[in-house]
Amino acid sequence: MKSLFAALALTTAIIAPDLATARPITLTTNLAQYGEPGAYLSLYVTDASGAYVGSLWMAGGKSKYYRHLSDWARLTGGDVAQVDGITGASVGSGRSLELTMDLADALFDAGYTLHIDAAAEDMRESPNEIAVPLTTKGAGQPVKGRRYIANFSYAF
Amino acid sequence: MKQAIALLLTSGALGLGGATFAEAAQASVHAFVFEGPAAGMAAQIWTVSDDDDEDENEGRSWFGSDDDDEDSEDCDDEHDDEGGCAAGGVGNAAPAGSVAPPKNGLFTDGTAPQAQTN
Repeated sequence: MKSLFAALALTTAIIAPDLATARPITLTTNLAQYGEPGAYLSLYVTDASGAYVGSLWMAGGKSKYYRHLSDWARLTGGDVAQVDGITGASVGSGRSLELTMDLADALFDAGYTLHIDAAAEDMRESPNEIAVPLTTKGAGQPVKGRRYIANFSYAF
Repeated sequence: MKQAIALLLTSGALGLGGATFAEAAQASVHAFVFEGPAAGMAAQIWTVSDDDDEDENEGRSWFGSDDDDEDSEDCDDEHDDEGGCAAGGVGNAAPAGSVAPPKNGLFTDGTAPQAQTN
């Protein structure tokens, strides 16, 4: 019996830190009524020095248009592999994109910033339309966009 | 009666003339299509026509006419826009759910983002 408890304690000790390293988070992007068909959006993260860390989502399936998400394209060199498996449809005017994911705990309160680049047909590019520091205090606080995005927020 | 015969002869001559002209026209078409140099022309026309189509696509393409010059670098000009640029096609990112998310340190291994559009 003692050995069973010991094994249980050991496995808990091994598993617990892994669970603590990630938290489920919901990212909500509400698009403005900009009056055009679907907008391409790239959500990505930079570190405290502004260096690209990775992408969280790409809304828009045709890679030929990714260059219009100009900051993302500059930071990644337009590397499509950065968004393999995290790409979905573009988002229509006035619609809302809700993303749920398990993000590493280490991203919060550590100087990381979440960015959103946006672009749409026959309209101007809008790089870095959203730039929001990833902090625990920032959760639930909407951030206004400039052109395509009415507001963006994240919640735990 | 003489008038009727004259009319018949005239119409007959016109009819034959028309047929002759049509045959000549057909012959010239065949000659254009099947002769060696004409076949070369046809291939050239196809190429030019193909380019024209691409230009038209660029003209009404996404993100405005100010980007037309840059469009020469996209997959239109790599001749793989038929499917090559379609969602999930060759050269495009793999759609969510089709492959695992990138191991960029942002996601927990084995978990993929879930997206919902309202």
